Amino acid sequence: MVRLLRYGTIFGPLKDRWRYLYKNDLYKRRIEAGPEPERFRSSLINWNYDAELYACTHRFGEKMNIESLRNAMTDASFLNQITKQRTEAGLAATDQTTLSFTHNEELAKRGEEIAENFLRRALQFWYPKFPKEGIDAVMEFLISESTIADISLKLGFKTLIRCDGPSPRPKMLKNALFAFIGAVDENNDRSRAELFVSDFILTHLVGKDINEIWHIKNPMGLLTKVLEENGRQAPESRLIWATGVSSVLSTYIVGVYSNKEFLGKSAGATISIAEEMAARDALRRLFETDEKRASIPFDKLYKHGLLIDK
Amino acid sequence: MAFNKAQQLATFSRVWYLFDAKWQCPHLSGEKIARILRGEHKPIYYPGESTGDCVVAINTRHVALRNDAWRAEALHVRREYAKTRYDIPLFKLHELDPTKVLHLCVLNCMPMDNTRRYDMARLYTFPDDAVPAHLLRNVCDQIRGSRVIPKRLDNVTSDDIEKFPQMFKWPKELVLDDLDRDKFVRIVPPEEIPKRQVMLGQRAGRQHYWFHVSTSRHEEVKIN
Repeated sequence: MVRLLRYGTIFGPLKDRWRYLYKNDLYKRRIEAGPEPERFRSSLINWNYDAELYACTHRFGEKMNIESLRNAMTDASFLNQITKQRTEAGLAATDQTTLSFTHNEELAKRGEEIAENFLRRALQFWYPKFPKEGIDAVMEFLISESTIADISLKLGFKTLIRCDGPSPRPKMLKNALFAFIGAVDENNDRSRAELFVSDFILTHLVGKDINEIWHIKNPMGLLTKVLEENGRQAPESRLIWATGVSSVLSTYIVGVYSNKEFLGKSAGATISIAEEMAARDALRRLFETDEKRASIPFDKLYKHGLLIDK
Repeated sequence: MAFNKAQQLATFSRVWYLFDAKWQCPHLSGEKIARILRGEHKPIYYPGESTGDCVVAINTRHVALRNDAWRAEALHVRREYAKTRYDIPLFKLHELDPTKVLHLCVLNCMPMDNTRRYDMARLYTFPDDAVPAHLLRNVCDQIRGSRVIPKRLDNVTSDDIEKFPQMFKWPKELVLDDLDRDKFVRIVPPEEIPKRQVMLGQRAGRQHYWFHVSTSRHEEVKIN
């Protein structure tokens, strides 16, 4: 809570002394009252939850049952809250089973399974030489709570989710998105859900380098290992050229060779950095994940030959 | 370090060039050097950006000016007050500061904008091939001169001269052995070099030139 400006000056519309003091006092009181408390969107009068759900199905072009979407958007905390309220109101435990909806845990589990399966297949299909640890790291980034919660927030699930607080926590946002995927799978078919995953989750790789998502601790060691597995000689790094060595902007270009065969090269401010980066570059070229390679065709993966999961 | 950092470094690093000005035309080499100092040889060049490279020019004492330029051309120095202009002929200027001619030729090829002085600051000129080690370590590449250094007669061995095919023989009285330097040239010992003359008037000495740089005493040769 920062007060940036005075309310006004004694010039202009607040020329009258009394009006200036009055408005100034109102301004101070508003500052003292603090920010408005967070409120449920549903506490405002122009709120129609059914219409919002209906709009949500059409926003993504999915034909699905409104009830299943409503279940997908219901968090477990919402049910807990309701049972608690009913218990406090004096209802018996038997009456509490008659709720017409369930929470989204199972759907979320189902959706997460679909998403993980599809993402792994898609990454392995497009980067066939990228090792499994790398794909695991990229998967971890894509499936992570922060990424998924961010996607869910941007897709507008924040107001649709029914939970115990006015703004859902990241865990709830994540569950809601996966539950939505599960609901698409339930209502339509599997490929439709996978298309949703490739449209909204896989696209987070746009503008990101998967070699940097998977941070290799010792690139030269890994390069040696990979070359050994392929039956090639150990890597050998050579200084290609250097300039401005004693200036602040010193640049070294180091290349990595195996049996006099070029593997990769890179620049660095010192020789050790340049050598490390050259090893990374060689790995990129070996794994065929360098920038010259085409980016993932998100909407045409099936056309390119990615098999649909049974 | 990320890959984009490495690419950035490789793209924007200042490359250091060496230029051997021996027997090169300073006007032509000035054009070349100015282009490099401004960075116009790079694909990333943009007029407002500082993308230039560094140049170390050596042997500027041995530049070769065209035609009669050493005698006929001059540096025009305008001073602020009336009737205080004077010309310094280039041979005189070269004697005072052997790097000045090349320096001025490069400066002449720079456009008149604000970055001019900053670009010129990236030019290091040395009268001979003695360069500080820390500068020479930076050097990465070399600029090709526009002139080929010809092979001089006194650098050719006498065997080659004798083996050189001759269509006829000159009569003996017409042959003058001008390769024998000692016959014509004498290296003057330092005690015979005339002392600095006593100044007459207020601005009589060369040290009153604004550009004066005290240089090491170079070899002075007197022809008898």
